[in-house]
Amino acid sequence: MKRFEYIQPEKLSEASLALGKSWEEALPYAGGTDLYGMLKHELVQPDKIVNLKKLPGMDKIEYSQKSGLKIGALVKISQLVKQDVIKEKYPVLHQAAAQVASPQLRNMGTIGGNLCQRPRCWYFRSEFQCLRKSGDICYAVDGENKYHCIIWRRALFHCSSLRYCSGFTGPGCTINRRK
Amino acid sequence: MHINAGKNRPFRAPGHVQGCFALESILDEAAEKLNMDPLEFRLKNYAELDPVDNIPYTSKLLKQAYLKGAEKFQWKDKWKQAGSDPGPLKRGAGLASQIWWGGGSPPAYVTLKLNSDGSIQIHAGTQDIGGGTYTFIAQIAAEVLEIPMEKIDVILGDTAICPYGPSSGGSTTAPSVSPAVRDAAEQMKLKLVAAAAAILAIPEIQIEYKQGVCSDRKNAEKKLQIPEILEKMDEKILIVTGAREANKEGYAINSFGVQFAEVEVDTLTGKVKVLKIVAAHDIGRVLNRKLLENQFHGGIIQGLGFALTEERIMDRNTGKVLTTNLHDYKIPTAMDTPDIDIVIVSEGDALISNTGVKGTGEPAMIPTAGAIANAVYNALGVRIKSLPITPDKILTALYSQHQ
Repeated sequence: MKRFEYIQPEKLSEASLALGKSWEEALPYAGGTDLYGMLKHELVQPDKIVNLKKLPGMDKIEYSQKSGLKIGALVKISQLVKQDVIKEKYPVLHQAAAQVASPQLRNMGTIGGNLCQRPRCWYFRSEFQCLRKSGDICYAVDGENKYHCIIWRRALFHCSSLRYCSGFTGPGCTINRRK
Repeated sequence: MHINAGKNRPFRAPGHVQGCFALESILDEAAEKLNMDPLEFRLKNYAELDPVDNIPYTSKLLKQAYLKGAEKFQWKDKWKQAGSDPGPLKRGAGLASQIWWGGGSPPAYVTLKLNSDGSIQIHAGTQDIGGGTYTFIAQIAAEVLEIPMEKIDVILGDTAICPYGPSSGGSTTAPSVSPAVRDAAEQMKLKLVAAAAAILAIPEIQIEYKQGVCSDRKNAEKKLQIPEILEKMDEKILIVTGAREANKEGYAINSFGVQFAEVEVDTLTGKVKVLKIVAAHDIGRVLNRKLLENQFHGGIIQGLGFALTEERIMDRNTGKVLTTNLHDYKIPTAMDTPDIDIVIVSEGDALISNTGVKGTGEPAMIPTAGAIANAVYNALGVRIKSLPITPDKILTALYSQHQ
């Protein structure tokens, strides 16, 4: 594993500065449930890792009738499950948060990290030099894609075309959301 | 067909798990063509003799397994006209039976050492891969010599100091090693009785052996503990080597069993939920009921994974395996595990060995996938002919049925 610098800012502005503009150089770290795997498999080799956990005010869930639901980026998935307001007003979100991955991952993983999670595609996660890893082909398009649930009217949107494809993913459960 | 890809690697009952699925699916189809209950069909075609060599089995209690298993499972109530449930959630029942060798054989040896304080070490050049070898070896010696298991140390695995033992394959460890342990323990008991008789100057037949104490049947006052016997013999240690006897010629040795599965298939999502497994087997003598249940639970859960979720998916363009981690290669978890009932119909096969044990490791897994596949057919009325039975296969099969 490549050596990296570990930064633990306490203000949002410091974090923003430390992260800079390039995802190659610095990566944010909160729950670590995706980042650790990415580091271990050498899918990312950042120069800096910026721990976001000390940033104030980002682990709150707020709800009002008028402005709706606001979920801080550092809110843990398991926190969502415990909120009555989510259970009552956003049952799909509640159900997804309750079932995704395993209890250990739900206790560590944050909503921000979940939305930024890199593709769970087995080509991306293994030795294939795919489109997402500076290759020039998405192997899933003509490969084994039956669990790539980005299928719409028989047309396949492969992961690279959905730059902001995000979702809840975990063993036995994948719920995708597109922006 | 040869392809440039890695070999498949079978696990636990290589060939039989796959073959059982195919054979039992075909038997189910044949029964249906004859308009017969699949259980009746199997009972009607029951082989009393080994059909290959036309010789008797040392024991075959498959019929009892069919009948007792069916009763426990409530087969008559659960098996139905295929695909007859109304609604989108359909239940079905299926069965599959198993044959395996697993009677063990020589050579297998153990060395039993009795120390002057009454403690024992048993060396065996075999291993415990989770089946409970350590436990059953100590248990058998404890039973024969009537001493507590805590006094017995079992040393396995080191071929530099242990006598030859079988490898962990073919469900042969317990049926090969357990008779050698009993042999060694019986020899040690005879040695102690002979020594006690000499010390007390009475005939051996007059010695009563009980819980490590040799006493005079005619005068209970005259008795010797193990440490006293060794002291009088002027020995620090007694050593015997036990061996597995030869198998009887002219007999086939096989284990048998049947498993019944009840499933519920969601025809909207294609998901299969296994509700119940009843495993009824003839595996000779049960050495330890808890270990046996562990073996069966492990085997059945592994069979369930083979039936429904575990799949080596290979990229068709590069030949590389994609399911290289436990995120993508899905093994069942506690949440996927159904109620499991285990019925053992055998008490011990005296024609095999002095312990009458048949192996359990592989028989436990062999019929699970076949039973689940037949239950899925019974639920849907559509047969899935490849494993694992994943939701996409079910939905595709249901879809093409309605075309």
